[in-house]
Amino acid sequence: MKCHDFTTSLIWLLIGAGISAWSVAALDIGTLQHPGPGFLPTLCGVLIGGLALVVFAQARRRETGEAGGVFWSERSLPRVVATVLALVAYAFLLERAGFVLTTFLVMLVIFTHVARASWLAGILESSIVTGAFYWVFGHLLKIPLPRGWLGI
Amino acid sequence: MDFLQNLLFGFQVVLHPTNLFLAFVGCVIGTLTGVLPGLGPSAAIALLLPGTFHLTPVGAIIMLAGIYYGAMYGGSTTSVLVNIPGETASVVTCLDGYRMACQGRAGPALAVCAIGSFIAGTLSVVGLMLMAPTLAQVALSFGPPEYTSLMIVGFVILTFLASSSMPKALIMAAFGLFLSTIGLDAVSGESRFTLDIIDLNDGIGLVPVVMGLFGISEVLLNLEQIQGNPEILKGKILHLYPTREDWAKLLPASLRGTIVGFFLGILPGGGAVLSSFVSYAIEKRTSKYPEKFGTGVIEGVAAPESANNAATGGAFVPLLTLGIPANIVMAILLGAFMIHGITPGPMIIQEHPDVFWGLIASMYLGNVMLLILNLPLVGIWVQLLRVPYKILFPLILLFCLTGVYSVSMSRVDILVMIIFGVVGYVSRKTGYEAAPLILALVLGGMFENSLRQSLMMSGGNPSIFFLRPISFAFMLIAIVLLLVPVVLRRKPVPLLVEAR
Repeated sequence: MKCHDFTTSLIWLLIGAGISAWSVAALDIGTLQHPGPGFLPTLCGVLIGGLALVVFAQARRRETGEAGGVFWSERSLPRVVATVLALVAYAFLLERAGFVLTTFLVMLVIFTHVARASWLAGILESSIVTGAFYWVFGHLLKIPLPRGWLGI
Repeated sequence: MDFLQNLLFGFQVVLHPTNLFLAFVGCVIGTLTGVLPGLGPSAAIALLLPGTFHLTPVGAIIMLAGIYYGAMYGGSTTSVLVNIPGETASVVTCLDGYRMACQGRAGPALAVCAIGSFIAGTLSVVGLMLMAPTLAQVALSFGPPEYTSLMIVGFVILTFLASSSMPKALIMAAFGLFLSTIGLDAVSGESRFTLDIIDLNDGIGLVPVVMGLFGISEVLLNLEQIQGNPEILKGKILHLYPTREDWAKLLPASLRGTIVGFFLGILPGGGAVLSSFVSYAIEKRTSKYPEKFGTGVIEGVAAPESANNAATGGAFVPLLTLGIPANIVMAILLGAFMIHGITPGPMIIQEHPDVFWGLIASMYLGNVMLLILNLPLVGIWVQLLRVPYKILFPLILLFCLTGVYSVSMSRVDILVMIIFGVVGYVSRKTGYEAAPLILALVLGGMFENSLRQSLMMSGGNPSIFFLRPISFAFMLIAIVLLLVPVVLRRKPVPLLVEAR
């Protein structure tokens, strides 16, 4: 994990610096007697940055030439990316297209493209899952699910 | 006598048909999630949290607690039958449990798990009942400095026990603390890091973060290795009940496991996983035939199974008396308490006796229910393993999406969940654990308030944390734990290494 440690520690260093800078610029840090709203966030930013340097130093000390391992394999990456994109699409479509349509479409994509089901099986599985969730959440738990274009 | 009266009151609460039903539902769902690999108790509780909003606080807590100890029971079934731990606390059970199954003794192995869990669960509830009121009295004398330093110890212990490196775990804790500051400042009302998104004024919700870090990220990781279903032991499971010789070995091992598990469970950061490893190691070390461990000995199953169940009872002690969650599941339960308007802490026994004693009585009852569920119904649970992951994971994803949306009716929360799903996925692959982040996020608000109050009390002098005896003791523990890895230059958990 050495390679990853170099990269991740640098990312954390940036995050820590960013948090501290944002806190100092936008919020009142206050004093030790009267800590302000920016006090803890600044402290967190400094801590994250400091600890990131420790992780970096440890990675350097352990340097023995070993590789960090493959982060993504060619087989796994498309599945992970497709799933994340489907979820993001769900977030943006839900309130516009409604629960039933959005759930059916997103489940169809996941069943057919990620779980590699056939189109026929995908349509069948998505319909059952959408119907079951609509019944449990919309009817049994009485959660006001968005109706959207179809009006259901 | 007070104890008995209070316990009877608890039983009155839990024997109400609705609460009884909820305890049963919790135990069934818990066993289910314990059996299904890839869906741990944290994710299950987070998934079902929105479903409890319509329930009474006592009903909701009884059900969620049932899920927790139900998962501990259920996790052992897959460990024994397919060598796949249903949840992390059952990892050690694989070592001897699966070996017993291979020797044709799957029945007794499962029975030992259930009986050991029952003994430990029941005894740990007694321990909780005896310890909690006393500790609550002590906690009443705590001021802001004591609470601040106690929470610091909690963070440090959790990061100290992290399986990856301690600095990485501390980074996650510090990031969790930062996340807890997002939203309106409780003192000044000033908006912090909200990017003018109104939904973030109340802060980042616990439910989307937990579902992202545990539910979504787990699915993303599993997607990398979708395979066929595991090979399940063929044939019927016969001879369920242990022999007299088995009983003679089971009882002492179970008692030892219970004691280890209960006290490790109390420690912040301890919990079921650690106690199962430690009790296995102790059992092996004190055994007359340590070389046989790993080949299918009863003690190797009974001790860790008892320990992980006893730890569930132990973990309730700091939550119910100090308001400090000892582990990740307790952190989510703390969030559940707060959503239902109850702040766990020293006052809970006086202010909400129905919740406190009802919960304790439900745990007694839950243990009986679980014994009934686990022994005769083991065949049904095994069948569940035949549900292909290709069907299961879209359901988990949709549960997360619908669950999160139903909490707040906000798509911002869905996006937060997806972001933390990706964060959890990447961080697990790079050795950064999610548990410290969640603990810090849950405790962050309390920590910031008590830190600011302490500094104002002392006129800005941080030495206040070292000048008050209880606070000093907590700080000393934290400093020692922080220095141990630096001094020893290695992870100081030889017991765990041996057990693994």
